Amino acid sequence: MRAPHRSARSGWTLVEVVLASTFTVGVFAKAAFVMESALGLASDETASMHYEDQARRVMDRIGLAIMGSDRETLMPQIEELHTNSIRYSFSLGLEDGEVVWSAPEEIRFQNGVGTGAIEWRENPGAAEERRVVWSNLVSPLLEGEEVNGLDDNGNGLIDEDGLSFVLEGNRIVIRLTLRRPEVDGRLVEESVEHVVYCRN
Amino acid sequence: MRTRFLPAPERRGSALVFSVMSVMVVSILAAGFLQLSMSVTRRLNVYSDTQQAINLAEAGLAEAYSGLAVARTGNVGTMEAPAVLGGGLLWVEAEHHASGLVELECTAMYGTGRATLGLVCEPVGLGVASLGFFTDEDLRLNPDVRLDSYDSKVSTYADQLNTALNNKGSIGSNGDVSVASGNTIMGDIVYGPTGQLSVASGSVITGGSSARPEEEVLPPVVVPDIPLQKAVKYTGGIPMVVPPGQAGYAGLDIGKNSTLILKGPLDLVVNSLILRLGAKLEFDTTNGPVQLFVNESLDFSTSSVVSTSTQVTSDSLIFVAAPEGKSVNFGAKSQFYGFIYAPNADVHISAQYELYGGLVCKELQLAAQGKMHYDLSLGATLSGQLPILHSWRVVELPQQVAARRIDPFQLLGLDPNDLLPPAQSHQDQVLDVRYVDTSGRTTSYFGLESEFDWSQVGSLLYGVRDGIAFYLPEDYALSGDVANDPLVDLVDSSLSSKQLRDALLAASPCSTEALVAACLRDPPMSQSDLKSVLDANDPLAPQTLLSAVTSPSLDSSALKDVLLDNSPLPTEVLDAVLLRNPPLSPSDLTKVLTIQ
Repeated sequence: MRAPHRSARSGWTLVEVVLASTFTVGVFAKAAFVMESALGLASDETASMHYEDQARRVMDRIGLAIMGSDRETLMPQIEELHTNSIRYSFSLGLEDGEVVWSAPEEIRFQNGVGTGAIEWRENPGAAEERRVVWSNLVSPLLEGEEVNGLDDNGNGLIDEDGLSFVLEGNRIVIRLTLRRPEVDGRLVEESVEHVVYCRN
Repeated sequence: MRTRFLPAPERRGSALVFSVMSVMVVSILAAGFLQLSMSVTRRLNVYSDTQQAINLAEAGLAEAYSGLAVARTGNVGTMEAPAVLGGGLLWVEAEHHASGLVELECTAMYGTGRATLGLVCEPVGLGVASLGFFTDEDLRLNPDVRLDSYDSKVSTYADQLNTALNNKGSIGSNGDVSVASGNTIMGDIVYGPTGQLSVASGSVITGGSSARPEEEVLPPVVVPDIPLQKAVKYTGGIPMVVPPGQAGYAGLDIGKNSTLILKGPLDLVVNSLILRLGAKLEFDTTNGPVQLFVNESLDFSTSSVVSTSTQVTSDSLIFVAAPEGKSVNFGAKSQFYGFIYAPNADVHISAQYELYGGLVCKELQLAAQGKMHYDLSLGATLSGQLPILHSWRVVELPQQVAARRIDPFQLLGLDPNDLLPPAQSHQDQVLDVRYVDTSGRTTSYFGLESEFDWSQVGSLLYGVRDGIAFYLPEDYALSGDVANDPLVDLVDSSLSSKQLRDALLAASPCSTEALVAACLRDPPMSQSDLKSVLDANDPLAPQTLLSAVTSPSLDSSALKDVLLDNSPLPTEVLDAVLLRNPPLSPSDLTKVLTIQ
């Protein structure tokens, strides 16, 4: 018995090659699209997380600093209106049997080009003044706000800066928006709000 | 037929490559998302642990702060044995300052979170006067000394003699306490943490005794900054008057038969103060208190006289800031209503210098037959008042706490099951309570709080921690709930029958409780001693007569005399007489029944 004859024209036909190539390109394109979307999402998430982290860290620092302050020494003392800076003194504990208070400190918003900064200052205005920038990613205005004399973001404040303080009795409401344009032109914004009570 | 196998066709497919690549892409994406997710979780955990640690530290501070309102020390747990709460642990360190302020610092650990918060507060009315009679070094009492108590806000000392208020004396030391024979201590003794109490026979201690959990720290005297005039040696016939306000002298030497009057309100600073023979010193506190600060030496000679114009003990205060090793001598004849504070000085007090108030010093030489009466009103009464809050702050973490952010139980090598909650982790103290227990019986406890079972307390009548009353009803003086009847304690003491007879005769008329206790005493009083006491207290109450009927001290004849003296007898007493075992002799019984 003889073996069956095999055709000399082995391999894919042109149609097969075209179909396979189209399919392969489609799969790769889809994979690339998925990858890009996932990376974009991860990048967004990472950026958002990074700014939220930074916003929370800054907010915690501000909160802890103000929490230990003496309500009577807070400047300005204007209630219900928002300000973008606050001056305070806090307790250092007992020395020689008496409560000792710190030198005055200030936390303020400094507007810059595109973004602003949060500055912490010790002995503000004095010769021995010390200053540290806690963040330079502060939005010029709080998220959702525009300079138009209206309360655009519905928080009861008009045209508030990216860092704002509102005194309500012994409560201080602190609002902060960080923002930064990403390399692809997207604008990532993160806002946090914190309420602290003056403990002294 | 031969079968021929054909070679398999070449497989050049790329499915495997595609599959592997796809799996790799998916794996990389999954790993990326996992890392992202873990990073988010870790970040949230750190944040939440820190918040939890802050909350725990706040809770710890609140526990210590409210503890100060009930005379706790403010120390809750330690780093070695912290308190456990909500899955974390915490401890509070309290520092008491001479200014009266207390600084609390609470460190809390939860997971990777750490926080230390502090506050400064001022407990209401705390002070060294709560220590009563206290010495920093060993306290040795000479024979026949009497130390007791009264409350000047209620009435005079004489009115409160042999009442419950007379039985709340507070004697303490950071070292040993030796009680000589003939001493009468109407109250409690608290000796040093490593000290001992030795009691000679023939002495009476009506209260309890205990070691203090830790040494008392006596704050230094803060002398007001008053300029000193040159020394004065006064020998005039007209009294020298120091007017109200502030005054200072390098020395005040009051000569023979001369008088010095200190008119309050006055702060007087002297380097030395001497009262010569017959000299007089008067604290005129009619218009305000007098605070006398002595920088170096004080000598009241034996025949000098010191007096106070009022009996308000908190108005006449002597602060001795003399350096260590200096002695001050209160040899004068006096009934001094005030408080003496000499944390570094050896204080000599003569038998004729009778002190009503309090005394805290480094060392005390109280002459034989000396008398000191602690004024309970000098002791702080908190009545649950919360301390005044001065400041709150976030404290920098201690280095040993901040260093390693791992599970705190693992870090400190502790088992949470071995730790107590904050409410049970307060520093141990000497507790003095009188209460009605769950079975309705009024009873007292004096000793370390760690050894006391609070669950047996039905209702509290009186409570003191380390000499500071944290529970004192407004009418406590009237209710008599603060302490036992001192005469009952006397009966229960180790006094001999004769000594007890003398003490009870001196205190007569005695309370019914004391007479009942005397009749039923174990070991019994001698027949003649008990009969003398009963005779001195005629007419006797039915309860006393019932106790006399069953008393092992009285034989048939002596009991007959007592019954005849108190006839006609109540029915229940007659019943008890008829049922007595051993019975009265027929002749005695006949005499008793005939007279009814």
